[in-house]
Amino acid sequence: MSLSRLFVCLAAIPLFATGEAVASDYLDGRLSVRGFGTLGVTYNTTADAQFIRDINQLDGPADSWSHDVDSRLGLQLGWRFSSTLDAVVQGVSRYDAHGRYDPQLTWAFVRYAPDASKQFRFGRLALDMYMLADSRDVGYSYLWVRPPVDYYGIRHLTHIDGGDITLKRPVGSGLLWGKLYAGIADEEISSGIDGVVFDAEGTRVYGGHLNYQWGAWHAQLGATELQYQLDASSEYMQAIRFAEFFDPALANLLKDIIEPVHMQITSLGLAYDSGRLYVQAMASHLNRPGTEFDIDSAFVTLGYRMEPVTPYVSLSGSRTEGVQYRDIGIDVDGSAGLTQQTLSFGARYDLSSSLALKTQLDFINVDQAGILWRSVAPDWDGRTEVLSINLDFVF
Amino acid sequence: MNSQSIVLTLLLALCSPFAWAELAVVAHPDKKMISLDRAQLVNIYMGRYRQWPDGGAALPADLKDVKERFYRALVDKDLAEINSYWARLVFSGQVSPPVQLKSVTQVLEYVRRNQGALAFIDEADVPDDLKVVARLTEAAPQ
Repeated sequence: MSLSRLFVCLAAIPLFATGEAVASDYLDGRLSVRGFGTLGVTYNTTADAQFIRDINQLDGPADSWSHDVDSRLGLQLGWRFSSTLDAVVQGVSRYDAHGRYDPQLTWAFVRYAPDASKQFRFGRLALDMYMLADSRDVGYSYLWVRPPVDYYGIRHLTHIDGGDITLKRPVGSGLLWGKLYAGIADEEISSGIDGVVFDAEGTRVYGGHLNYQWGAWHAQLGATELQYQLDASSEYMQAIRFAEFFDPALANLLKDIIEPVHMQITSLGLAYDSGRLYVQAMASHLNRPGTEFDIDSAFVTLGYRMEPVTPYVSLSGSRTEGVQYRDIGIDVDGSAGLTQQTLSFGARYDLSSSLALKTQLDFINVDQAGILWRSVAPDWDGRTEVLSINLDFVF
Repeated sequence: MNSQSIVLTLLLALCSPFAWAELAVVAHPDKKMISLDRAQLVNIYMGRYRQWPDGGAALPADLKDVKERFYRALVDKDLAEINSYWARLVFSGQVSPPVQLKSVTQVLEYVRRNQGALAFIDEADVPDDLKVVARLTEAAPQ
């Protein structure tokens, strides 16, 4: 049995469970065992480019169905030492840069929370760079089949080894809170080039965000500095040396990709949730040396709860200046970058309080096919539709 | 049915406990000087800020049979939405949901035993020795 088959069987187990989703607590509530998962199938109508959920994935469907885009399974163990000290370990299995479902330890931390206004965590932590960034794998926790790819697809760092501090205080009729974090990343990303995988281990991350929550509203302003560092395999380095002979411009681009760089990400998020009406909007800017690959991205999602169904519509996009193919010695019109827009229509149907069925249709228009697509045909017109059907659960 | 009896029926409907039932949030007797407004109750029950106005840690509990009505009255959400909300907080390692209790007896025992505890029950089940820190009125059924 392949790993992916095994994964699907494992993920199907909770479907036989009925009713309420509740964590299992043992030893007088000291030990908790919880899990989440998604069983999903995705169809991409174009044969000219493979659709991926984020740049951590090796490949994706093109004029075909795939169960790899969204399917995943996570498990969390929690241990409470006292009312102020606890520890959490969480692992996730999802389709990765090697095309496998190798389980990954996404967090393992100790938390000290002396009172409601302060919290300190140390260890491996979810990288909480912007709204929902730390719960992207938990399909049951959001409306879409997946967070908007134009916005979240390039944000591949999910965790850091380090620490964070959260401070909160009531202000006016709302709650003001902020978080500061620092740490080192330990993650692999697919280069999109013939199975070559980059190792982002050693990337330093510092940042924080400021939030104000009042009534149905939540606003967040965030900033992160990344000292980004990618280690490439020997095959990649060899490809650079080879390219130096016949296309020095391309060789320089390949070198640039793995040059250590400082990047800054700033983001602004606004959410409104009145119980029935749900609106979320985010915008962000990624700044890196040179202007070609600065990325502006944004999305807005609107949902309306009509129990047990929540239909929604979402518009997202990202924009780069890009680099002209001719400037890197490729004799094709156009540019490589990340400029695309997606209009999505979907619905979430809550089958029970632990199981949700979702379907979503994306209309995607790509102006610059870059790292968010695999195996792009040179004559692709940049248009495609993606249909997804997912079953999300928690236990 | 004449117009008088229609008026009488309407009045009875308005007064019936199903139309205007009240839920009480009870706390330890030590909290006798404290009452919570809706925003504070939301902060505590939705895991945003679990602190009593007098400074101690707030330890909320859910009562299984009343839970659906309570969250409907508090944030106008059904249980699937509440679970979805908690999935995000729990699986991003932020905060745990309220303690889950199955009976009124368990709730009363929990609140009597823990100084920072609070829990919701039907107004009719409120005992003399506990302090009611908030009341929620349920909307009339649609």
